[in-house]
Amino acid sequence: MSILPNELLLLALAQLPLDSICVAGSVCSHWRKLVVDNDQHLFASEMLLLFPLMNPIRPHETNDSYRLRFLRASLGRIKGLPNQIIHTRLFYELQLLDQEPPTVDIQAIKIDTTDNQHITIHNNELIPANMTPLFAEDVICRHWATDQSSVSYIRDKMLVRNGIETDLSSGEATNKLSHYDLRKCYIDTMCIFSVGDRTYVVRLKSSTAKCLSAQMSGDTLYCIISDHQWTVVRVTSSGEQTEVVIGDQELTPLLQVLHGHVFVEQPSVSYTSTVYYVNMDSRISYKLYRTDGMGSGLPCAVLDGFIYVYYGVDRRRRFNRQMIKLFCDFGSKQRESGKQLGYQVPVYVACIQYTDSVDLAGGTHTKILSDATGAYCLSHDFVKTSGHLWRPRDHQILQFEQDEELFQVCVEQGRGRVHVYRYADKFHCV
Amino acid sequence: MVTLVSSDGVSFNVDQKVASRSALIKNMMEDIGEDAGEIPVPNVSSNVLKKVIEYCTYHKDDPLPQSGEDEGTSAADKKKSTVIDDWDYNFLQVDQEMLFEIILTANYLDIKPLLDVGCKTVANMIKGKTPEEIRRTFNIANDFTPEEEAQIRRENEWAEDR
Repeated sequence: MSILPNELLLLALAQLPLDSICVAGSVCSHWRKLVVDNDQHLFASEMLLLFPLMNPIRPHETNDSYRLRFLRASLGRIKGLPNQIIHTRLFYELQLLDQEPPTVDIQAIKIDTTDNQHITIHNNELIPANMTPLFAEDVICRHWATDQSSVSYIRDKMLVRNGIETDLSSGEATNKLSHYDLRKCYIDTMCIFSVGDRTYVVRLKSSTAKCLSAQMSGDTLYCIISDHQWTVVRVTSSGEQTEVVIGDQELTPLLQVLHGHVFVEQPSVSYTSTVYYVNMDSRISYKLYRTDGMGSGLPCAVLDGFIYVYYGVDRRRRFNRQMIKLFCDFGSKQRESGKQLGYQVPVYVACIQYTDSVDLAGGTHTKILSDATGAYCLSHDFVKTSGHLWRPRDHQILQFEQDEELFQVCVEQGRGRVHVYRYADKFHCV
Repeated sequence: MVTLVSSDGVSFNVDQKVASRSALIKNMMEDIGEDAGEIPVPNVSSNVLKKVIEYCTYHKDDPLPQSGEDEGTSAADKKKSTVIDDWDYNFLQVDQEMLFEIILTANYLDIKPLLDVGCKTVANMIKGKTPEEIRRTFNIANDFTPEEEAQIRRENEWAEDR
């Protein structure tokens, strides 16, 4: 009988669902070796759904394969993938790290099917009371009320966690990272962003226009342009530019892009602001919900047709915000309970880093800063005197004071430890 | 027209459009020019070549896959699928040896759609079967020790518990 060479047998195996691949790996030693040796190829797409929420490989697990890690994850019932797995995994990790986390009821809320502005109670879920899991497209971070915290994300096949870069295939910690930069400069009516070795050119309508809140999503750059009116711009690496005007309000909007879904938070003079969904392809935006007024109300995750948002219950309890779930099918704007959105998890994603010029004199621009652990967002409302600084990802409210040309920002980290950041050309930890 | 000559010396006169389904032959025709004449296909026997030409003739008007179409496509973007069109399904209802020869030829002649559908057919022969059923299907001997088998069974409990 003719026998298929390994590479063609692999092509056939690659068409199979995970359970069939595992069964094929138990047919004979030759097939087993083929599956085990190529587990990265065969299992990678599924594993990538899970890696952000899995523990990094421990020293004694350096010989672990993707396949064994998948098996070890005890994911058993793959029917609910990825949402069920992510939740299962999340809770598993929480239990690992928090021992037995206290739980409280959290209300998941969906947007009403007939009117986007109304939200109704959907169901209840349990989540530990003293932590706020937060996952975004590129940065997966979880913060606790104590000084325990972790930040992890995948970039160029590397798992980065707490600043340690780990090779996903070997499990070796290869590098300690300080940060990734998204830099920009202006040349006439162009704003040129550089991200690693890539360059994006945003064409502006005038030389006075400014690019704000730049963010990478996959290989695409998104930013907000300020030029008499606010415009969300999407620029691909091939130079294709798409623009959606989102208004001419006085206050600077904030941008959040998750898996290519664009959200804009439009502050208002009142305490709360409004979050809009921007459909870049059809060039429209529509209102999703109003925030609770406690820092950024932008979604932190888009998973399986739900967007996840932190929502506070009491201003005095700002450190203990809860995550709510909003049901939303962005594509059709229809909202049906249980419908899957069908988004794609990017395989390699760039780290979001915000660097932006701040207009201290005008005091009207949102300054988004960054350090090794994430982005900081300076509220435009308080720039002139003193006020609040918040981290968009953990919504920790920070205090800062203006000292002539300098801003001194005190960041309380953990139990009584204070980091002071001083703004000159950029923030330095002093 | 172009003439393809199989390994056992059988000639097949084939429309250039049909022959162009093979990226390998298409490149050869472009290199040689309009008057391609005879093109030897030394690794393919006449009965297999005949089947492959039958496939290419049926699919001659399909859009050609772009070169490097898969490059840059992430693993997560690729959807696993074992769905096969009716005609292709019936076309590949051949004995296993012929099926493997067709896949090898598709690979050699660089006929990606045929390679894909051939691999899907093999995948369908594996899908949903127990290890023992797969061994019987492909006439494979179980060379695991009892200890290895027990270990594998433990690992795969989740997959078999359906």
